[in-house]
Amino acid sequence: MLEIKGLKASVEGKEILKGIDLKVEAGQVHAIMGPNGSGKSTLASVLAGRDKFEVTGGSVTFEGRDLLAMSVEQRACEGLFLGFQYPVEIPGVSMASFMKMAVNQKRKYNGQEPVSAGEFLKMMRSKSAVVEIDSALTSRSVNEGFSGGEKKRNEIFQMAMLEPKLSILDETDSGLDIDALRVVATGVTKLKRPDNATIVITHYQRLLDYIVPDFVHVLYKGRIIHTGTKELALELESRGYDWLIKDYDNE
Amino acid sequence: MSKIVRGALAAERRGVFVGSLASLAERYPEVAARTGSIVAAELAKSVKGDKFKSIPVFCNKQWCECPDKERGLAVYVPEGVSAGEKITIHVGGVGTRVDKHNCRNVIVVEEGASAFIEVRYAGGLCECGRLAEVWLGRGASLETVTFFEGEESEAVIEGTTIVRCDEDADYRSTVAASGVKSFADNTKVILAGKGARATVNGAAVGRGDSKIECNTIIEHASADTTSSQLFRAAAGDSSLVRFCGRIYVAPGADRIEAYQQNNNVLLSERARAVAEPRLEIYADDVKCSHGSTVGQLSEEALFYMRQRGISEEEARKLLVEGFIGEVFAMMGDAVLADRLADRMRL
Repeated sequence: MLEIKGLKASVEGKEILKGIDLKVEAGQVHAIMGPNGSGKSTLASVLAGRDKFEVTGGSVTFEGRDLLAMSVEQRACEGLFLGFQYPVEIPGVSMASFMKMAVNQKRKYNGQEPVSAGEFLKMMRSKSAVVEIDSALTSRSVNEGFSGGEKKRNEIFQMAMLEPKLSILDETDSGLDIDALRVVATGVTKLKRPDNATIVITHYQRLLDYIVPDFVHVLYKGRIIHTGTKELALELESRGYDWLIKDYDNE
Repeated sequence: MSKIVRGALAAERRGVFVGSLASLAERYPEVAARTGSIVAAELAKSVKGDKFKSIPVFCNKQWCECPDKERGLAVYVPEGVSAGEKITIHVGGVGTRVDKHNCRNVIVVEEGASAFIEVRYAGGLCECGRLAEVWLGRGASLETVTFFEGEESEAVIEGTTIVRCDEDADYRSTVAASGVKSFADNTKVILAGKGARATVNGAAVGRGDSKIECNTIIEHASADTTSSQLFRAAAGDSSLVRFCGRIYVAPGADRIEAYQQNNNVLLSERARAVAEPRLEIYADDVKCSHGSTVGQLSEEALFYMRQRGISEEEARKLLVEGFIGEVFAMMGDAVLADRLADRMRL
């Protein structure tokens, strides 16, 4: 589904990603871990198409197509979803009209008719149940006045509505208490299908108690320095990163 | 008759008078005699030269004196009467093309009475001036909504409204400015009685080379009065939006609260926004604040929306709609608010 080869990216002339290789197949869950500043969020942003970052090398194919050649919205319509670490507040735009626009733009991209008002309401109702989000939130402005937990649930709610092929969740667990974490993680698990894939970017092992990854990658200084299975996360939890990164610190 | 009033029949059944200024003088001579004085006072000021020269003097236009009283329209809501249904004043007629149109409106809402009035500038207008004088008696309540109903046009419109609020009266107004070459809305509210409140809001969307300006003067003449203003504008192409808002707190007008907020978004490099907040406070014990911003659409929000599959163009439209829509969200009529939001869409 996704194949990243030698991806390099920089911001304001400073190289952050120094050659990433990663392959994600349908049905898989990948976790990307690593200390602060290792480039985890940059990788997510570059894949989503944020123009702040300049891609200086490598390639990314998504479902066999050149992802880097697509616009931000094209990537989204092709089925790439980014769960934001800091979801943006949009005053004056209700969740309902925002989601309706998003769903319909995606349908238009795929040559489908816009969703009817009744169908849309039904969709909103059933999907909000997945993440146990208060349906009153959908009549409020996007993320405005939402608590930290509500914002993160709202990201998963949007993911449920848009049914992406590949979801990249950027530190969705940061700032969540254990209940919210459980709800968010359960939501992600419920949305898992054989034909979609998830990349979970996280700092802590605890999220991986709920979302069980097939692979765990350690990102450090812009490179994936180690890949393992879910047991690696537990090992990182008890031993920290030092045993892995010490060889790279001299660079 | 250049104005047709919709909703008038229903209102009349409730005891509301809607008719020409001349017939108001026949039916309610006492009311007719009382009105006109606010405008006269403003005119006198402008002749003598206002102390604050830099502020726009509203009443120096020829049409203010509009000699033809027949063309004026009066709405009179007697004591304790609730006008019920919305009353619509069409400025410049319906479906006609009028080159020049000047008119006067007198609106009197007596003690404890209430009304909702919609003012529509006709789509066929070329040049239009309107002067409205509004009297709110003790505890009276009036909401007004003003907008241009045509498609994009070369029209030049200027409207001036002068409002006097007695004790505990409540005045709320919203102006939606878009679609014309030049639109100026001037509002002066005199909070003359204790406990009087004014909410004066406006939204503007500038396109092409249009010029939109909103000028307000809120005069806190009495103690314990409250005012709030919210003006939002989005300027595209090479348009100009301007807000000049003055809050004047008279000596002795203690314990007043006055808030003013003006936010502008520039959608193109050639668009311009001018913000001129002015506070003149001569009392000691007041709560007064103003905020003024000029900026661009949030890059963060645009990226967020595009990441959800919304094209950049649609994302910009939705952001502007949300930004402007917060003004309409404060209106009492949700259906009309939706319609205005629709009209203001880029």
